[in-house]
Amino acid sequence: MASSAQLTAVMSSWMYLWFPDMYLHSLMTDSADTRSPCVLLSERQHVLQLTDTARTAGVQPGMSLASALLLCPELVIHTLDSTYHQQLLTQRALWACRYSAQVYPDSPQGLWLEIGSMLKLFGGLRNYWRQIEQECLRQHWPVQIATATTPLAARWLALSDTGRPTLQAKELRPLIDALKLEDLQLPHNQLLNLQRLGICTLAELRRLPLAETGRRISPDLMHQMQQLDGLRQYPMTPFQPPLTFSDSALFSHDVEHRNGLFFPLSRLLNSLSGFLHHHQLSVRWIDLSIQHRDQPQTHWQIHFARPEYRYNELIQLCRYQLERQQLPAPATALNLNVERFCPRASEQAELDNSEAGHQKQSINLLNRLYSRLTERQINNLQTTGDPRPEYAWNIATPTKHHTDSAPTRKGQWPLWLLATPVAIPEPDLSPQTVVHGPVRIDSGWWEHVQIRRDYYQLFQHQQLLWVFRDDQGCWFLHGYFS
Amino acid sequence: MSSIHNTNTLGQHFLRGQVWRGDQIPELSRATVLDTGHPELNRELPAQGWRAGQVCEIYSQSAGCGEVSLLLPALAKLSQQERWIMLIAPPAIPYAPALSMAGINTRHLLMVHPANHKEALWCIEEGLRSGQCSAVLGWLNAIDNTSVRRIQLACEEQQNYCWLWPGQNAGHKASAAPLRMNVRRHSAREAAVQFIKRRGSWPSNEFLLPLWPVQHN
Repeated sequence: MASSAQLTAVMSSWMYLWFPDMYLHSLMTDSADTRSPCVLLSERQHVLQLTDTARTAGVQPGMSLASALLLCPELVIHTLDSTYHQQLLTQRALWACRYSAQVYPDSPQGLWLEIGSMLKLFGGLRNYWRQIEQECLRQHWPVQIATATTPLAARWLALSDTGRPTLQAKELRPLIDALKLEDLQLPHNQLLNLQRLGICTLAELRRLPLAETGRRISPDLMHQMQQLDGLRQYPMTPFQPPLTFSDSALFSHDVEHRNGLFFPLSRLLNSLSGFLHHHQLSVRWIDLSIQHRDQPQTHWQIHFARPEYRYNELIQLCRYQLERQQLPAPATALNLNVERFCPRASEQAELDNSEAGHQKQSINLLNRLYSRLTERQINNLQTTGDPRPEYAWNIATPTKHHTDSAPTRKGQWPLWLLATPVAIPEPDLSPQTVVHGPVRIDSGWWEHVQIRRDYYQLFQHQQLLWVFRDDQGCWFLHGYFS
Repeated sequence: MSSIHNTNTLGQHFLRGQVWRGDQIPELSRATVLDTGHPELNRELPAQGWRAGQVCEIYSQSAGCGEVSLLLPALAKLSQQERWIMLIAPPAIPYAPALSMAGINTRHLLMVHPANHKEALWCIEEGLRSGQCSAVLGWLNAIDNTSVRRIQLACEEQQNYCWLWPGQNAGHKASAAPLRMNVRRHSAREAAVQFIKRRGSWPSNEFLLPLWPVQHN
């Protein structure tokens, strides 16, 4: 009775993603790299992961470096950096946060996703599966996917690459039974014991009484069989995304031109976007640091006019800004750091304003303009109500809400104002030339910039000009009626 | 005999689309048209107003000819929309009180000061393509036909308005802009306007345009 109650409690929907040779693939920045044979060595100089081209040359996992080099002299060799390996898995877990609220990393290169609560949102298991598959393909991540009702079953199905998009017990059962024990990454001596007994598939193992398995082969295996059926909890640690975002891409070949950075950058932005999605945050700027072989790092900061979190926008904006940059030297690695985030809630509050539609729409255009121009190059006009022409207008930042402009003073004003009045010789003040004026502007006594001027509209040389005479009797051109 | 021959060749030209007939422009009927606010100008424009999706080039010998004022009624209407009116590289400070007086909502004016010609062209295109601008106004030192064609395409795509003030002496060169006009000040309150190109009609004669309806006293 107790076991059946436990059974219903543990049953749920799981997806397992297994990224074969994850470390090695992450070093390939483009498809050209995959053509050269490439291996990853453990600290003890044994082959851990290898590309298909290396495999066809006869290299096998577990081989020593010397024998691998004998088989394939042109081999490109990378050595495992375990912190980077961990970081890679974190990167994938961040990405997976876009697809599931509960992600459980499985070191070294697997992920569990709780999918029961997600299927409705994504329109069913088949759609969900297809989206994940396509996204992995787009990122050039080889992946083996499986779904099952227990974490371990999903993991084993993914390891042997026999997963199907189903959660039905009667469809899963034959798949699980057909699993070959040698594919399940069991400890070596356990596997050997089983093989000696003539047991090769999971169906055969299941036929043994469970208690006997525990006593004769290994208690661990017994536990695993119970976990497989959901009779025992499988130990997993949920993924806790960090609240600073830092990610990097190492290059197997030096990248000489900034265009070469786009592809690795798009991967980094993709996981950033997943991170932002999970936390419901946005970013105002991101820091890129680029490592060089013999030079100090290059730092580029990319600003956005408005907080952004969507992948497509992020990549577009970064592209605009990178187009203006030059790499000072070939790059060996790219880091993306974000330490400050803005909550998305504040953005919501702003949208409640009356100008909501306009604001929301304009964000996009402004963001694009800011990506290429500086803040000083883009502005917005406001009237202040000051009678002095120099102070009658104000420049505002277009991203901010500003209060309504002050009412305008009645009068005939020129359309173009010169930033500084230009001295001119005394004009001819005949009735043919003077169209309007003089209008005296005498103001500003409360500040130290008092002006006392007589303004005229003059029609001269087929132009309508706005000129004034100051209290010293000097003449200046101050604007055009364009 | 020769006249039959002539009509035949003209027919062939029609078939190849090398000759178009002014009265058969299908696009005129379904386009959005914006009242210029000047009856004299409406009368001369083939669409009876500014047609959306058409770049208009305005040439003047110098500033102060009324080359911008003639747009004020149209801009006043456009500025009521919740979209930007982009001013790219204006030659002087657009004087906010004058704009307000003309009924323009200055909140929707976005001024951009690009560092160079290339950046200016980029801004114009970006503004037009974004669909977030009701109009784009650009002042350029010089302009080549390829850029105009690109700008025209962007303008047509989003069906917004675009007025350009290219350098003074480019007026005699060919351009892809559907509308091109010369503006000169005739008197203190009048501009003399001449269309050197109007899609859908012939170039116009010079006509006078009263330019002081904007004061709201």
